[in-house]
Amino acid sequence: MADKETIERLKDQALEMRELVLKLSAKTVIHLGGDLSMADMMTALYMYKMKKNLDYPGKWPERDRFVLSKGHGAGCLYIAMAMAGYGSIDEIFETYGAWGSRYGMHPCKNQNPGMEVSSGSLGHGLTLCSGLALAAKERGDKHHVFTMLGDGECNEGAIWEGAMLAAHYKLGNLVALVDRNMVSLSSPTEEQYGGLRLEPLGDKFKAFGWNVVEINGNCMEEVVDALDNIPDADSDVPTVIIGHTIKGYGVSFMEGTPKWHHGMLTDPELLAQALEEVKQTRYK
Amino acid sequence: MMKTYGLREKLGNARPDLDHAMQKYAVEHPEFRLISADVGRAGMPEFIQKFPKQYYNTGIAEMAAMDLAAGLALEGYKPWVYGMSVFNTLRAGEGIRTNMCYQRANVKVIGCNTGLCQGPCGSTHYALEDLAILRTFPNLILCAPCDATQAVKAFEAANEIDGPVYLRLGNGRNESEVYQEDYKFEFGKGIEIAEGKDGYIIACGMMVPFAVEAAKQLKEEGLEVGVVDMHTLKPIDKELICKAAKNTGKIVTVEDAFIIGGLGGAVCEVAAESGIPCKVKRLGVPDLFPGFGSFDEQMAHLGFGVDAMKEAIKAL
Repeated sequence: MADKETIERLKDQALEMRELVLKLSAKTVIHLGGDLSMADMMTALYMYKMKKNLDYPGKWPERDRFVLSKGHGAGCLYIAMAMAGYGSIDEIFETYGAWGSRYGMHPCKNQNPGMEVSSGSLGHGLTLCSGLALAAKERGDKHHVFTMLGDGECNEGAIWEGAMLAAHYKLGNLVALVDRNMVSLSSPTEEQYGGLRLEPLGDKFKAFGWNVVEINGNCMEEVVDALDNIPDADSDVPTVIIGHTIKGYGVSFMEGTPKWHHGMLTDPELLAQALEEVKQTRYK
Repeated sequence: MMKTYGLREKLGNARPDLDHAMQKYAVEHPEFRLISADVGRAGMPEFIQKFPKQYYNTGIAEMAAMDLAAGLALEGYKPWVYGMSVFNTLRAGEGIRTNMCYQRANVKVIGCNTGLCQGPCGSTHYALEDLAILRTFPNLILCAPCDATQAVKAFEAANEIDGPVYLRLGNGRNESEVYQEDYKFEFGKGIEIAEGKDGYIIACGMMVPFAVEAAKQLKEEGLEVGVVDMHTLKPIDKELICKAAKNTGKIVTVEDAFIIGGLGGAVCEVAAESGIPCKVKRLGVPDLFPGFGSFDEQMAHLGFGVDAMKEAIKAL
């Protein structure tokens, strides 16, 4: 278990990440609802758990791999990477979405070699990561492969192809995190017209042969504890950490609503309100 | 004129030939992997039996096959995916586009059972749009070998490429061998089997031996028609198309696929942009879903067999 000092540092960093997400959304369109919900898990991954993951592919074969399967959360990923030492916040803010930029709405490894893979088409990440994990397993490598899934993304059939495949090939070095914020682009996931109901999501993964951990994904202590307790890379059962989160976490007018799935926070008053309110997340 | 076999004079079997080529390659390259969405046993049965540790069956999940292969390739493995071309390109086309081509992943794909070679299967299983779809994917080499021997040459050439390559086979069994002499195979360089004065037939894949036969019959009627084996559709051999256009002004294309967007489409694009005056007739599967029938019946009814090629040349 991480010491109190580490947890406090991570909480500070998660708040900083959220503030940067909000400020970035004032300049450009990002998927800020989901960025705010997964910020704690991204902070813990990038600033606590993952080993040497910020180097160019191939430089450090032993690095932990990370794939943002919910590629539309790229804004949060870029900020997490920059905070951890890869790229700069200024560059993100100055170039996002422009011709030649390393930063766009979905991660692109052609433009940005710091990305493990290019992602954005939902559903592919889990199986693609299974390929990364299977390669590592066969080589006897000790690193983990992490991927962040959106909950709405779990409507994709490809996720369940990947879930079957990872269990079948005993990919215990694979860890999927689900940003279970209960809301997809159009509506809450469990409503009749909110896409296809996902619950009981944990039981589904269990039935597919996965090790399932359910946590409050907006509680740093629980996130760190879950990451501390993932199985060793040479184990046989893949793990899914279902992080129960709040979409738009920390901003009253964004929480739990699909309205801020993506967008821009252009109104200076709303931005100021959001930046003020989000500070509360630091002390929860 | 290159020395060629007569139509169905000698039959080849691309599937077992590739099976053997894979076995040889797998011994030399431990990082080689064969991946299949449950059709591996039909394609490469010996390999699967002898190299179980280098084979993954994803079950009937084509997209999983492509995504798994991409992941393995990004980690330095050399995966080949074997599957039915219609499902490779329609069910799992995004896997090829986004996870192989976009990532420049070093994955090779074999699409089998293409065109109408699966006679009784019907249009759920006929891969007719695969050429048109794949031709639009950046970073991809798209090749339709004309016979079993060429399929092995293409396999070997693909292994020298660091990036995605798609090989489109026919049925892979009992198909005409084309060449009686050895030749150099290079992606992007079509093979001029015969030089023409009165027109050219440009063919790909399993239609090449039929094109050779059509040219032979036309020669007996006094017409010197060239034949091009355009095995690589992407990148396509523009120089050879322009030569055929310039020298004769008449080109017939033939493919066992939809004529929209496939080989015919590719040749038209090159010919039109070249500025060389040239008439083109595309033969292949017209804009409809074919019903059941043997390959010979399909060619006759849909109008892309030997007789149709001869008529088309004469009509231009």
